[in-house]
Amino acid sequence: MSAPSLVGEARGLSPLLREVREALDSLAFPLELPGSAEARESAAAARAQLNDYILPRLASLDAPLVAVVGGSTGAGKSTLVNALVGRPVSVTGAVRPTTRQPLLLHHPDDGAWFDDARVLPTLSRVRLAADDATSGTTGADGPSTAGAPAPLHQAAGLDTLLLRPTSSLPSGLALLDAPDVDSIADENRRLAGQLLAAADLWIFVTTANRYADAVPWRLLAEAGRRDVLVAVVLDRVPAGVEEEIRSDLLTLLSAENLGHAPIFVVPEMDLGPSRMLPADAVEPIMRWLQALAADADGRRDIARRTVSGALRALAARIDAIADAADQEQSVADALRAAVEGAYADALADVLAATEDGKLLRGEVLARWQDFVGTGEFMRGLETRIGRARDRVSAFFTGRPAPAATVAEAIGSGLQTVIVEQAARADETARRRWRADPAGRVLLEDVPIWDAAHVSADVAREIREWQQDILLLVQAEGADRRFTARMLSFGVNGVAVALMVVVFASTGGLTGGEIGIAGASAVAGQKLLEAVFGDDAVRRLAATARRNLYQRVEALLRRERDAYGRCLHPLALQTSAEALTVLATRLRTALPAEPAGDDA
Amino acid sequence: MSRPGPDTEPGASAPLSEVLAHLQDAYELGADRLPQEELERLRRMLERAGRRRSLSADHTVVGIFGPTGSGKSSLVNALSGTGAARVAVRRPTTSEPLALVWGSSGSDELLDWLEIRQRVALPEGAPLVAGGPVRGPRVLEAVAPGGGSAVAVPEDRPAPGRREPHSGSATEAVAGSGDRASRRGFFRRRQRPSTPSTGAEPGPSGPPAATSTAGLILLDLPDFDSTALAHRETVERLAGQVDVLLWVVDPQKYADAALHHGFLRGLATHEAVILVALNQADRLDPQDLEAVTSSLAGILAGEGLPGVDVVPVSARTGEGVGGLAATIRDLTETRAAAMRRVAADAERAVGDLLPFAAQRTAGPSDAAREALSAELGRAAGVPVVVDAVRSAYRRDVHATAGWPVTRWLSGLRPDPLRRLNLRRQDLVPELRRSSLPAGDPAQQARVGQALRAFGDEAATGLREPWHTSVRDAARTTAPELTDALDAAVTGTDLETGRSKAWGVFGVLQWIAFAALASGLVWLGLLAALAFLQLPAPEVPRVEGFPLPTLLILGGLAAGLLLGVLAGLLARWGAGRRAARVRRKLLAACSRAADDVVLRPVLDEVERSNAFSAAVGAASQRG
Repeated sequence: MSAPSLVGEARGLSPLLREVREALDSLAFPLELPGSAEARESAAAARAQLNDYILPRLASLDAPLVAVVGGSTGAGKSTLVNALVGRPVSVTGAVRPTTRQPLLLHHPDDGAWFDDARVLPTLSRVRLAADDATSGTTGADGPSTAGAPAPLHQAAGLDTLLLRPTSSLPSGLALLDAPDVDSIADENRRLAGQLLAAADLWIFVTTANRYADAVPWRLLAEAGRRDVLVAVVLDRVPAGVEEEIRSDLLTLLSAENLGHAPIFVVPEMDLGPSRMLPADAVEPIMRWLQALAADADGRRDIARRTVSGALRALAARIDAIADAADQEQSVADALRAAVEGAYADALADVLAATEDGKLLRGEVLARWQDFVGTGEFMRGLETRIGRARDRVSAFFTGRPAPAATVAEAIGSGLQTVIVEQAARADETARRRWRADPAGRVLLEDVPIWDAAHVSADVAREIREWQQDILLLVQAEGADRRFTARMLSFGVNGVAVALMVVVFASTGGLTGGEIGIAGASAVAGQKLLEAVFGDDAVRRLAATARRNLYQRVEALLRRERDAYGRCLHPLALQTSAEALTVLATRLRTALPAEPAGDDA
Repeated sequence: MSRPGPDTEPGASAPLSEVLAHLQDAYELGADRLPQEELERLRRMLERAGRRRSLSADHTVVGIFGPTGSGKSSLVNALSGTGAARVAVRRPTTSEPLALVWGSSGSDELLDWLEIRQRVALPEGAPLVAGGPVRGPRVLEAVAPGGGSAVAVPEDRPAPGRREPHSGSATEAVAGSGDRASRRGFFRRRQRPSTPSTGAEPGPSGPPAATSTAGLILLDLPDFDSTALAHRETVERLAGQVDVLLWVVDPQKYADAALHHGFLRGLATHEAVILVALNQADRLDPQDLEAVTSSLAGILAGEGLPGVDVVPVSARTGEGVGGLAATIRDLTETRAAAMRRVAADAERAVGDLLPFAAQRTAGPSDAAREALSAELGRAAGVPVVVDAVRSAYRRDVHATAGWPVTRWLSGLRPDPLRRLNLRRQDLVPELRRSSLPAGDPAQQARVGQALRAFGDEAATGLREPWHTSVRDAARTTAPELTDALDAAVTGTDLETGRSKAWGVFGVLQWIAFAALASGLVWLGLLAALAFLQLPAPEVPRVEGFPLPTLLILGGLAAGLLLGVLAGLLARWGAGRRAARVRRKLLAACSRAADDVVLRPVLDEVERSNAFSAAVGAASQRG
């Protein structure tokens, strides 16, 4: 046997495989993409195969071979198993699907290999009485009752492996009767896939009716790729057409790189009341199995060949999974970018609206003009406006115009703008996500836009900002000799003037230079300069504006996070690049492709 | 080419055409609203229904569907008593659909539509296995030599499989005419001479069959579960087109996922046009057959097809074929299957549309409308304008009736109305634009919010996509609305005129001022005379107080009193005028809102209601 030894590599492989397992464990594929369900299944299958087969097989190449009897529903898998064992051990019947719980048959000497959770650790085990023992002791019952097929084990779930020692099987080879691969029972299909992935060799059962079915051929094609040893049992073949079907099947097998697989033809026959195939019908299969079991080296070679095939397939599978992960990442990036874009636009729009005095039109302007008093003539006099004059003019000319009104108008205008922008960003984000199938699913987890809640949030931020401005003005005034003068306007008045100047400034945030747009704010500018001086006004305005920017940004970020949270599970996944690297490492760790090994 | 049947539509189609009309309405109403794939599915369904209804109503197309190897072709042969369909053991066998037509006149277009090129015409009188159970093989044997004769298949390779499996008769392999999928186009095989022989077929129902089978088209179809993917596409297409779906399964494959998940699960609405035959029943012993039949019936019931009977048949032995043929004959005879199929399609389409239909909604409530007007009023600057009106009124009063000493001060204050460009009521309102800034971000934001809230309110109770479309109908009016609101404000009479009544106050103020001034002058003169040591005339006294002093004090007091009184009255008057103006402005805004916002929103709500009504009407009929 020229197959390279895997035992040596096992030491280097194990840590790598554990790494692979961890990487696979981290994959959740949270997005609903066309390929995601498949990728999720593929990752689960890869994980299962790693645990069920690859790791235990690498650990002990001498363990008995597991031959899975798999195939379509109604193909006669259980009937075949019963015939091979020589007594009814597996439920057969006309009602589809029959076998629901996998049954593992092994030689009594091999029992230790399967008792612990070495192979297929996710399946719980139920050990059935050794039929030989019972048939020996309770002869009165006869073999047909003692060895009767185990009914569905109610105590255990479907994920239960029934173990049954049978001396009619050769030691070193175990038979696993698997559920069907194509019936309407989803659980059967999943379990069958898991068992086939955990097998050293496949005994694939098909029938004259079924040999061209698409579903089993998908599995056979995989077996061909994985270089699994496959024997095909062509069951229920009507008399007279054997050769025609066999040659057709051979053509199909060759196309899938399985031309070397032995084909055993079992003719269609009346089973009679016992539902047992006569032993001579399966005799060639039995002989083939016995030959396999007898050759210990050959067994090890088969195990080696299958496990390295499985590892190669695992690498290919990880590549495919990496592609899916990559796709998820790019879709998630697009979704995230859509949300971030919407909120960045909102932030930019809020900033644009609070620049250049745009916000100072309308109501704010009216209130401000009321506040600063009045008309072109008075505008020259702001620096001399005093409270006394305010009082007098309030009495003679109408109502008072306290600073609070202006602050209120500014606050309400600002609040409206921010809430509207947040609403618009939310709407845009939602629309973009809804346009994407994956986004549509995620959107269900995004809480509904709550205008009242956001309004309250925004209002609080603005109140805090105005409070900050007040503190800023007070702090600036405390260590200056302008305190007295400031007092004559009231701290509130100065703060309001600062707000107006902030909204009137042009040039954005970063520019240190703050110009004043629009004559309306000149009054405020003059007033502030009178109190603090030129430089201080610029500095104060820049500080106040930065404060506002930070608050709006934080607010919008909080809003945005509702979307970000939905994409969070994706961040916990192993990245596509890391997966590709793992696949490459796995491939280099493997011995070279067995080029035309001995058959 | 005489049509055998009456040309009228079957009676069942009168309500059906209504259902289809409703669905057509729903389609038109749902355009641009419903998800694209949903619309596309509906469009295809309507198109198919229209096509099928325009084609021969005298023919009933029975498609035979089934997995590979279940014996579809054998069953076709057994049912027709011919060997027209090729039967073999190689899987998959049939790759091109084959039509057996009883009474072919008028069927060409229908078959063209079904894209079936291989057609075998049988005379109208040819029986569809005349009832009787028994001896299928003999039926076939009686027919096959004639049916599969060289006349029928002139240029076919005389397939070796044709006779050979016959003698073998092991599987369903019964007869074959080797018409493997050639692109023989419209070549049609007629087998007129062969069929009379089948008339001799013994059977209880006897042959008034002459009329009963006329108009039947039996389709032998490829499989859907083999490795040949093109077959599946053909089958999927035809499963949507044929009138009756006859599913042929066998004991091995009756529980395959490809059959149930791929097809039957989605056909719950089509119960009336589905037949299920369990072929190869002869392979099971009676006990198993019963178990399998009930297992299959159970699976079907679980898929929403509880009323479908499972008919065990055997194409090989002929068991049950007669019963199946009778069922098919019954379906054909009424000529209702085609319309029943369309009705089932319509029902499914209605079912697909139901999630988009909701209860009739009345549209936005009055409260929502009022809230919208109020919010739009704020956005249009109504409070500012009202304030301006109020202070303009008081300013005007102050200018006429204020204390003349301080009256000039108010002249220094700008007229708030003029500042808003609202004073010039002499201009045509349409040409005027207030200088209330339209581009004010706060105002735009407020309009946006008001519209959003209104849209939400109007859309309550609606389902997607109508929820979104109603909201959008409200939201997209924003730019138009800003202009409309401005026009509403400028177009409103703000009562800027000055009341004449204040003139009286003015006169009184001047009198008081005159008294004050004259008292001052008098006292001044007296002081000057005293300064110049000139004798001063006696000052008249009233109650012991000198008159000039009284004039000063009285004038001062009266002036101030009048000023205060005028101020108080002005405040009251201004309040009243402001309230009036506010009402007018809000009414104008509300009119603007009605014109610009409400109409499209109501249209959209109406559209949603019409859609729901159409779906509802269709679902009641269906």
